[in-house]
Amino acid sequence: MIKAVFRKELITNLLTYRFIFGLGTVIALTAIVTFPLVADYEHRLTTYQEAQTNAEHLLTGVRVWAELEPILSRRPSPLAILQQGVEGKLQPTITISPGQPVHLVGLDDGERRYLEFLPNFDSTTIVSMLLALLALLFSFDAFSGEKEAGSLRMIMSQPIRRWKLLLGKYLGILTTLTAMLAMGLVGSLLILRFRGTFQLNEDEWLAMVVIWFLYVLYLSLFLLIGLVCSALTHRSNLTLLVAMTCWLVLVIVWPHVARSLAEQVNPLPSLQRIEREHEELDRQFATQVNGYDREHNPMYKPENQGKFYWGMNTGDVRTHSLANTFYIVRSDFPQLIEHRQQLREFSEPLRVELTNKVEQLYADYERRLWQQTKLARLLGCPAPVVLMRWSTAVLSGTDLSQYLDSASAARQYRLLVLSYLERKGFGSVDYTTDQYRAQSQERADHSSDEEAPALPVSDLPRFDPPNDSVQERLQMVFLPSGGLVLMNCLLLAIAIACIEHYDVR
Amino acid sequence: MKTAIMVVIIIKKELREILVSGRYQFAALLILMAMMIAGWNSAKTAEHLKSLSSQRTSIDEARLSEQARSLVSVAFNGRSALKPQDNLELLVGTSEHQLPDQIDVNVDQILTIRNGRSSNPTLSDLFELDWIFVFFYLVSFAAILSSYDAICGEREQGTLQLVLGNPISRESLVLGKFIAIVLSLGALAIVGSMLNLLVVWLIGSVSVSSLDVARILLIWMVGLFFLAVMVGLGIFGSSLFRSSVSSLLTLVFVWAVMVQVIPSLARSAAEELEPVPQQKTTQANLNATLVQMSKEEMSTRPAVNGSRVLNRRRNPPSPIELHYFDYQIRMAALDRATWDDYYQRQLRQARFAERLTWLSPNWLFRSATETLAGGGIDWQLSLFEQARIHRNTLGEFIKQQDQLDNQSPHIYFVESSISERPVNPSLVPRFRYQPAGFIQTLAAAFPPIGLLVLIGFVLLGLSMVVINRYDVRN
Repeated sequence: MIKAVFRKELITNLLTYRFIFGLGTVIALTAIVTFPLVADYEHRLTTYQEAQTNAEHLLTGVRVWAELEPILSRRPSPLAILQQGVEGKLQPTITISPGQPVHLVGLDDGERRYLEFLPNFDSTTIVSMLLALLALLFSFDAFSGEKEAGSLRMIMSQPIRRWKLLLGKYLGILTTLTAMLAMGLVGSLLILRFRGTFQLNEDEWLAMVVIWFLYVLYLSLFLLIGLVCSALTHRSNLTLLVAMTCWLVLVIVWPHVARSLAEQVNPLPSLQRIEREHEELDRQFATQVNGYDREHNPMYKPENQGKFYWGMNTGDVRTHSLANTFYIVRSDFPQLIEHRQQLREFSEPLRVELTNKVEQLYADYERRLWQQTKLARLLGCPAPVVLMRWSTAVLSGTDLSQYLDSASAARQYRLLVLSYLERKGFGSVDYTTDQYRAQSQERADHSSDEEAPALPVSDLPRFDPPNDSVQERLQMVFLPSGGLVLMNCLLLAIAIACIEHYDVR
Repeated sequence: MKTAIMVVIIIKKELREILVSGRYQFAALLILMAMMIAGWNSAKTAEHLKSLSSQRTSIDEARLSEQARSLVSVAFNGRSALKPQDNLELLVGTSEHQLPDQIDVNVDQILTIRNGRSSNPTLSDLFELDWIFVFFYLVSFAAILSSYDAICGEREQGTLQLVLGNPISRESLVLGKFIAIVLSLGALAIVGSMLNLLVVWLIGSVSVSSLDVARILLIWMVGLFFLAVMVGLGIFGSSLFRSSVSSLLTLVFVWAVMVQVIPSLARSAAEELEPVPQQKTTQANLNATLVQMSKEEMSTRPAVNGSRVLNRRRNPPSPIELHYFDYQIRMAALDRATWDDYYQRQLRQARFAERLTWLSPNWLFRSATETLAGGGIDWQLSLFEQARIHRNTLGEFIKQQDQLDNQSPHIYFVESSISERPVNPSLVPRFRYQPAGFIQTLAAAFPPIGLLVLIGFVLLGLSMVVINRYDVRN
């Protein structure tokens, strides 16, 4: 019996003007949206590939240990065409070095300084706004409309249970909507096929399927809201009014209010403060290193008075700052080289210590950022759109949490690199002094500008990116998508309860 | 005269009906609540931003007094040009939290343009809660929900035939309904914003001057125009369709397109039609030219024996130094021109995108209102120009101070040719953002307001044309 209702409902829906209109909208919008998003993705991908090759190149060309600065880049997610998330808003590359704190959020990043005031558009936005509206449009007159038309009494006189009728209608409309979504998907996949550079691996295909499944879940929720409204009211006109109001509150008002509440309850600290703190530590570093230098540099010793003069190759560099990680001492004087080594022994641990302090500030900021986001999501979770956006962002690999995970993995990795450098010895000749120079000292060949051979970096620890497999992502979205499923069950139960009490007169 | 009386009677009757209707009461609840929460939100944000901005000023001052140890350091380190919070900006709401508010300049060039307000990248797609939010989403939606069945609903109930049986022209019926809905919702919106002001005043973190009051009145006026456009749209829909259900379906869809689809398309279109080269590409091109210039300088350097040291300040400079300074000045000029052009193109692009969003009345309203409230792209242009003027002022100051040092070669602006003497930090000119005057604001906001009014008239006129062709039979 359900099957009969389902078939009838499906066929009626497919023939309506509404369906054709909805289908046209979905296909047109997906097509329009896919082009710029794919172009954006391709741009990010080339940047990533360039950064990768560049990083490899830098690693093989290290001539002194202080030059060792591995660059980590986050692979852009192709699924960002479904949900942009924070992709493009946060820096994808992180440089690892003793003097640079690892941080994700800074004051100046982002190229589009002025265009940001316009909203981003992706499939998730289309589904969460327009398709949710369509879902309501398909379901609002399921009962009240049939009642007005007088056909509801006819159906009810048939030997069919009311809940079966509801289920049949529900499944029929859901299939219609799924068909529409699938068409949109096929449309965008066709576009992607024409652009050859776009490729997905198996995990991403799976994530994409799950995302489309979540879209269906979300739409089913709005469909059920429409059915409940329909089963509570007696005129289709009124049903539509109520359904539209529900849509406005659930899709627009609630998430905005949740955002504002979260921002007020859990405000972010000032980034300027952190920048300033960084500057101050930087200065502290310079003062201490300069002080040490003044005290121990043989150039300033009274017994060496007059031995050094300006213009001599003393290798004296006077800029000390946290970020200036290295300078290569090209000195002709063994005394000075020895002093440089001691200075390094003194300055490098200090640099690491102070940079760690700055890094801690940024890490705290990121923690606060994540807390605010979590709070906004928690407050927003009665609105299905928040749950849906949350889970699709995680599944497409563009969620803030995933970026934060990479940042903390990078911080771990930085510690590994630092201990590696420490093993190599901050005070060793290889740390800052050009090897070739050191050797040529004995040969008294000062004029040569030949470059020193590269240092072997094969024993450098490799960066282990955080686990970002599809299983991991699925685990992460268990909660929000579970919430969506739960809401669906709840609304289905409510709809059945309502329809059982519906007065068909 | 007779028609006027008729219209008044219709308005009265409609108003009574609207006021007791469930949807009006629900809209009232939603709008008033939202306005009150928005008031709380703006007041709190104002407090937060105020402390943030005083922090920024003190940080800037501290930096300046450190750099004042030498004139050259003052000249070449960034001085911030900050756009302070406009009083109305928070109440009314603008897209300022997504736009830069700080431009760092030195005597030579623009160093960075950035948004110093810490904002959450996951939440930035959502609006702040403020007047614009309430009007943009809630009032406009309420307008459509109140007017979608103005004509076709009456037809469905069969009352339209009765009404038109009286000596009433169809136009006056449409006009009466239009005015009644605009009045009822307009009163709601304005009472709501007054409540909002009350909440803000009670929390007491935003002070409003008399000029601000004039701007608030203007903003209310724009809000009413916007409301009128949305009601006009609703009535047009209702007199176009025969069933109120299809009228509402279409209108809500059009609404969603105007709110969400048009701005996103405008963004993509602006990126396509007014492209800005990537920062990386610009930098690479610039570097290539600079390398070329440097080679030229090396090859044409005058051959003079001795005096190759360039890091000592002395007056007069040697010929080789003069040659080098000249090269540096040309290099800096190229650098400056490149980046100025780059930022200007970004601004032009954003402005173009904003113009494209004017296809949607919602964004037209938003654009007009935020211009009146002292935010948005229009004033970004002004900030940019003011920062460039500040760069020149700073340059004049540095020249004047440098003249006092006899040892400096007085060549502007080369880093190794400016005095290293300390400077009194209180003399260094500070950037002060000049907000636009009332007339200027009005002039800037005029095009979107004019368009809004025009659209309103067109919709109302169209409804009057369409209603005359309306088939009132059931």
